[in-house]
Amino acid sequence: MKKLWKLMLCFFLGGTLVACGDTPEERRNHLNAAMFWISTTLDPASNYDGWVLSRIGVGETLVKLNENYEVVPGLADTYEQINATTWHLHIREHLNFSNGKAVDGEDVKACLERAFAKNSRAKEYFDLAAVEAEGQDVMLYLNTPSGAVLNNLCEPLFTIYDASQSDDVISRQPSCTGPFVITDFKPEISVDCVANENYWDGEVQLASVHFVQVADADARVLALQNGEVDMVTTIDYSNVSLFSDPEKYSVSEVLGPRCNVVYLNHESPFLQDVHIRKALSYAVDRNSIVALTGGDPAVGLYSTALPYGNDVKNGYPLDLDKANQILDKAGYIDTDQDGIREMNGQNIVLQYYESADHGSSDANIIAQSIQSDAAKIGLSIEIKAVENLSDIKASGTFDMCSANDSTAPTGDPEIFLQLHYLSDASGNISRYKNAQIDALINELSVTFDNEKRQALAKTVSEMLLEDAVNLYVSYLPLNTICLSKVKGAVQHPVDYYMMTKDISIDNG
Amino acid sequence: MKKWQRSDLRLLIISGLAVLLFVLAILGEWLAPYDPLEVNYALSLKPPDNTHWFGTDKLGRDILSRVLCGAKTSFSLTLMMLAVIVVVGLVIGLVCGYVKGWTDHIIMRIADILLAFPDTIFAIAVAGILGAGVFHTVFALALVWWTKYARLTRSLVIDLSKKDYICAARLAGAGHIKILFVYILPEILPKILVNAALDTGSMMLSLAGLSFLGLASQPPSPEWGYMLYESKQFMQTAPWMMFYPGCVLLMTVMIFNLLGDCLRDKLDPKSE
Repeated sequence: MKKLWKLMLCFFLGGTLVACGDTPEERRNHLNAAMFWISTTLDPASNYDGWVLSRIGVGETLVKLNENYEVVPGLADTYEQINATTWHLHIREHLNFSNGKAVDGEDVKACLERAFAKNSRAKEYFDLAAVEAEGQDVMLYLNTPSGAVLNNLCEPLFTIYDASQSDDVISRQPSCTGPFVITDFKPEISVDCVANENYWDGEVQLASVHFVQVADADARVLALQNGEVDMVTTIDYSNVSLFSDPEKYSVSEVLGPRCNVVYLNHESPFLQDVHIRKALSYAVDRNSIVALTGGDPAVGLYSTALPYGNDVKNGYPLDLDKANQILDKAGYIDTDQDGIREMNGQNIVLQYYESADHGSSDANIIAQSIQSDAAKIGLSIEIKAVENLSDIKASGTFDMCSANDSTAPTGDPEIFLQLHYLSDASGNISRYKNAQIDALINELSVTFDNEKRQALAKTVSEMLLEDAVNLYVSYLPLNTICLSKVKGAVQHPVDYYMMTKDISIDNG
Repeated sequence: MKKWQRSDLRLLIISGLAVLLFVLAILGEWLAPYDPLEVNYALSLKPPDNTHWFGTDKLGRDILSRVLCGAKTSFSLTLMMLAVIVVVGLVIGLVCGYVKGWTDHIIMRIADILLAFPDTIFAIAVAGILGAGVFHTVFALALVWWTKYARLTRSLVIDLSKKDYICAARLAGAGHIKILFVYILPEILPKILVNAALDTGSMMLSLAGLSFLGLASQPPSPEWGYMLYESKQFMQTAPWMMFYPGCVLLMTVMIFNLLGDCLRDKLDPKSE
């Protein structure tokens, strides 16, 4: 009799466990994805956390960018410019947050105001005076004209979510409008999501997704190879060839707006001299670097993938003779024959800080290549590998430092110039000051014609080249690699777009 | 007799290998077939062949040349660190064990505090504060490791101080310096040397580990740990970049560990 009871108990417990688990259909439509970064919060208004929310397919913006960097409708189905400082947007009818609450103009107003109150980056995109909401209509009033408002509204900082939730809930599980809904969030570890049943743009193919942070690019490669994850993004170019078997994997690669740039500190005693900056620019062997890191050799600030990045003249092809001539002419001679040129009797030794951006070792390859290239023209570079470059960039205690920057994060050329090249910009890493460039950037802000904007951007880009402000090394390819059973995963050139409703699992 | 001969032969072979490693480290620069720093993109990631026996790395540098020249860096750093910690630990241990009292209390409590830090974590923290670099890392590791030798020396000195011959020497009017350096030091030195030999391998691994993390040796200087770090990205596409520095490091550490064992058998047979 006792045995019978035990058997019944086993059946009961077994049945309970089966009932608690996913159905076979749900398990089949589950995706595991490895990301290089999961933020400490998921609050769109905090730092760059909105980018993570956008990548995981939870957060969406009023307008978005297509593959050609053009603004297309998002949560707003129509938008128009009323005058130089006024914009009207209409929010889609019958649009709901994932918690079922309807989205109207007031929600948009609350999100935009919260972004401006909580994140100083917002003001650099456009100078918002007021937002007015009535039903599904939203009016944006700016203090100063801005020709890039629509593009900049694509930035995940301006994600639309249910701002009536508490700050705590917004930081962990904000209710948004994207194809996925967060069910669990562990800061810098993982995010679990399920399909958003209220999604406005059609049926979501996947039932659930588990995103895990795998910071190291090589570890992401191994995670995909051993089947721990079904999808990874941003792996090193040198490892893409490991996934060439179409039976096992699918690779989606595209040249994006990201540029490997080496910032030169214009307050450095050596690099404030344009001759040294120009000589360095001529000494960098970009083609050989690109053979190792992938992508295209950089010809200027803007990637060739961008509509206005194509025909910027390349001021600095590899030319060691020219680099040596510039330094000889400027009077920097190696008098003590130690292989290093001197400035005022002091060896020209530059401190180069590099960090493994996106968990990739490419920054180290670029640093060592430039170190070797610079040695050929008598300039010495000491490489310092650090975990985080933010403090060094902020304090200016460097001669050179590596970066992997999206030079047109919203498809428009203006914002990157605003953030990094205005004399008084908070992100003016190079400490470069040029009144003429400032005037052109300000002119760009109030220019609305797209062709004129692009022409101005090219002018600024060429002036930056003329002054050899920084070393533009290469334009980065972006990639998404999946097991072959994952369908519909396409790498978007804008890297804050990743998960879409169309990604599915083919269990064949 | 037979046992002695066997252990003696073993010591001879292992010592011979250790000497060979030292010679390679010293002559590495001359033996290297190519300039270990010369970048040649055309030869990037070339597998081992007749011209480049160990292949080339991502920047087309000859790995054999880098391994040979890297030996000098690895050996000199290890020996430098070993010398610092043994001398410092020995002197402090001698003073504490002989003088005792407050000096001993204070120094031993400082040692206790330093021992509370895991050595690698402490080195990472110091490198974080002072900046990455060979000397900062050696300084950080030495700051923790001298305590081991100080404590060992101190306990040996305390033990020896109670021996009759030391009392006799004292009664015969020998000074402190003479007692310490003539009667005590020769007695404890073999034990200290055995420990130093046993620690050489682990020190080399610690330094290579810190270089792997980018905290010790800085590019472009060849160092085995840093070479392993550089090869990580190409682990599957160019495995020779990782294989050769890894093998050399493994063999070197193994030889020094075996040498330490042999020396212990020879110089300090009681602890066998």
